[in-house]
Amino acid sequence: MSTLSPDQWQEISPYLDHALSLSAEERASWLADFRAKNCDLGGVLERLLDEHRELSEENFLEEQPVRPAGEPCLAGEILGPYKLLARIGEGGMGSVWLAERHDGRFERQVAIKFLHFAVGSAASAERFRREGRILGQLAHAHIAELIDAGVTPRGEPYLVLEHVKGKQIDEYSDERSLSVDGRIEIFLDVLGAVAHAHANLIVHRDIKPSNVLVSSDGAVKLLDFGIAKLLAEDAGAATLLTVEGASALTPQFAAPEQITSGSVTTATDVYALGVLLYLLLTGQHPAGPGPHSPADLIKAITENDAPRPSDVIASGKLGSETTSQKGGVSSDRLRRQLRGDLDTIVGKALKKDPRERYGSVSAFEADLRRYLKHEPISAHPDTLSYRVSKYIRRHRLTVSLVSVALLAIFAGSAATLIQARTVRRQRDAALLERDRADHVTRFMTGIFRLADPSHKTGNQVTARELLDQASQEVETGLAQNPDLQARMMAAMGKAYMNLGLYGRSESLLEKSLSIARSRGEGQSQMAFEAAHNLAWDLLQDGKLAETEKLQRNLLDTETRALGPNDPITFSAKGILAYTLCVEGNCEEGARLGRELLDREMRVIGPEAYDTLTTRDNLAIALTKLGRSEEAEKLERENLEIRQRVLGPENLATIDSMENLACIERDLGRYAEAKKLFDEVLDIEQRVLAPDQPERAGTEYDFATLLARTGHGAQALSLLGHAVDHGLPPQTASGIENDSYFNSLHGDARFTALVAHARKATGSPKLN
Amino acid sequence: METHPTLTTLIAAAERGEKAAADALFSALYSELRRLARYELARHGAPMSVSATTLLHKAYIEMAGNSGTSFADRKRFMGYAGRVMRGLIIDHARSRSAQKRGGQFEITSLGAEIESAVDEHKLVQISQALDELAKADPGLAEVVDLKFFCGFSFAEIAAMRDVSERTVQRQWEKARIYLHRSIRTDLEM
Repeated sequence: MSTLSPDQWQEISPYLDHALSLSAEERASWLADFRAKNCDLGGVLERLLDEHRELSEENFLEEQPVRPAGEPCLAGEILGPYKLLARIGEGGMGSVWLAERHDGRFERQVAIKFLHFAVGSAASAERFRREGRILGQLAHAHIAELIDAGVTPRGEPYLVLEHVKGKQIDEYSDERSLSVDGRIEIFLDVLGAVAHAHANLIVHRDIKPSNVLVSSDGAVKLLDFGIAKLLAEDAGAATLLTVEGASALTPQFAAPEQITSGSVTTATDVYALGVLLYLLLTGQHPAGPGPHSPADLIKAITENDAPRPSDVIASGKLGSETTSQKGGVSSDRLRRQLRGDLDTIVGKALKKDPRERYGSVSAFEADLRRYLKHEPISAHPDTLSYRVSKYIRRHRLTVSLVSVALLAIFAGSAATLIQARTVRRQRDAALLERDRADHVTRFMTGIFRLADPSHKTGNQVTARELLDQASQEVETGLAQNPDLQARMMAAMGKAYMNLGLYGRSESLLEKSLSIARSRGEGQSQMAFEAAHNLAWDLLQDGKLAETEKLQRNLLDTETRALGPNDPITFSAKGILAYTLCVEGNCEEGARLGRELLDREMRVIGPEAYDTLTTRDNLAIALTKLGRSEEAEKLERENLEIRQRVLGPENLATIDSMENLACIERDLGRYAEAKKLFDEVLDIEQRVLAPDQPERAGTEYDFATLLARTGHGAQALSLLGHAVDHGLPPQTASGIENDSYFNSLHGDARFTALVAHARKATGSPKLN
Repeated sequence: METHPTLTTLIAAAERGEKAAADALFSALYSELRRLARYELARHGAPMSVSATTLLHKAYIEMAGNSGTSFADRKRFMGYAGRVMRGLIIDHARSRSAQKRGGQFEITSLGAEIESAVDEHKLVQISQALDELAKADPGLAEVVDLKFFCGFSFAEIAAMRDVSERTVQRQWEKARIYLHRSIRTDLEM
């Protein structure tokens, strides 16, 4: 036997790598094959692998040459009123000791955690103690109590914590073979605890299975609340990654903003809770089964969307240790259980953008409770249009194209924003209904994924190029499957529509319609869908007369084919009513809208999504007709329903409240209007990012009220915010002509603001 | 420790292959780690009571903490410091056997930990074999320094080197085979 020469080592090294990455059985058969092909090298390799086995058995080099003596000087040491008993753990943060009070005041034992960093100054030691006491006030049945915080005479910070005996939540659930619902029940306790902390303005920042213990009687306890922050501040470091020493370097449960040094908020905990729920339901991390390198994890966390939980089960990646088997349910059944609402709920918690996650832990909790009670949840699944628009956003094409395009139809009247919102809502509802076709979605997202820079490095593809490419493909490649072809064309037409490229969208949608008609004698579901798509497109393109004509035709056909009470007929009537109103024929629009509302209330119920939309539109038509009293009644009804069904912080609820505020303003009930605007702004400030267009819209509308009621200075200030927060260009350029601001004309600040608004928004580019 | 050229500059220079910078880096790390180990001794009136890992964390925080050294430098720091720690431990083992032989007592302050099965002679052999390995495959040698001498876990090393845990484990197993071979060869000679 001899040392391998560097050359030999280089030669054999890759084979050794491969062999060591195999399991024992795989290795044996691979080695046999290898020896057959390469006798000499195979022989050497076999000897090395035999040696490897022996070394493993004798634990060669496993024992460190120098080991700490278990901090012997600490056992029995007195720390304030506590006596240290034994070391019970060593983590990246520091060592943990079991201790008890030595003054005999309390029987119970506590855990004392020493932290791996030195507190430099007396001031920072004091701050550490103070922060610790604040955390100590967090009293909740499911939060492990932080009893005290201090610094040893040697300058070592420590925390005195409730000593919790229990299993990690994931291990506990697996051991007890908890069902999906059982897992959710236990997870709800975790949410309750986090919600309580958030209500006290404390963010956990480090939620992970090892911080969520369940005792043998099923009681949940969250550990280490707020401690990550304590560490971050004292170590003076920027992110979670650099703070907690090596153990935290694998950022398994970090939210994207923790990695990119964004601001850490309650939304960060929502994300970590999403990861935890994902793990509980699927048995694996959203980044897929490990092991992951930190770079992979970071990429997974910041860039890649996690597969849906039901797909993870479906792809059969789980071994015998899976939740499904442990939960005593077949993976098929589990998949069905997870698909839909649970996928959607977990997906919403795991959004990369904190603003798109649940606005609060309570909202997350509420949806899970709805799921358990088989009620509709508040989160909406990602539609194709959502994915496309997200793609577009990622590629920095102006997102607000859609709203810009919509706004381009209308003059800059005060009602502009309400209309834009309603159109958006109605369109979303329409897309939501029609984008269910899973295979289309898959095809489309497949194409998008192919061109995603993270898959195809160094070659930035614009959404335009992508669509151009795909739309060519669909004409040539899918000719043998007309049904799919028609669907694809419809989807792509909508994508062009979202980009504001109406020439292309219309040609695709028309083709899609003609294919659909040729397939189903002009009356199939698909044909109706295609016609609706085209109508939407024409409407957005500002071709109102064409839209009206198509829509009247469609309404007629559909009423005959499907009857007056079919949802498709409803939709046609709704679009027609809306189109008429935009054309200025609010009289007929309102009449049709009223008729539709009556039918919908009877057929699909007074609280259905479409009924609510119809009511919104009718309210707008009535406002335009000067019948604001009636409009107010309808909008108030909508607001009440949305507050109850969707919750006060839902975007649709906020929209509704704002619509109502505008109506109250028009009615001259300024105090009521102000009250509503104040509330809307307050909620938006809490739940929306500053640059979300909804906020700019509210600020604009609020400013009109303030200007009208003689609060010129406040109006100007709010209007300034609106411009800075991304007011759509069409509105921004119309500020000067908005009669609500007449009282400001002549004010130099107003003139400056108008100029600033023009400069800030520029003119929209549509391709 | 007195102010020295910042850690970042030293690491960067050492990586550019500047011998003087590499020497300066090693001696800076060496004296810092020794200082910290002594501090532990003074603090507890007893031998080193924290692990080599903790010692390295502390050294890093003290040397880099105030100079705004970035995260990436921490990884590289640990790579160098692991090698330095090996030197310290071998010094210590030497002094311990010198002590046994009645030689002059030298405080390295890494002393009086639990007696290890690995004796001085063996450590020196491992270290020499590691130097050999470092020529053929420096990455593997670094894994051994971090794991065996400094006590980092596979997960921690994986994070430092930005690879998966399984990769580190495989590198460790490979390195072990290499080391065992050369040590055995030594014995046979």
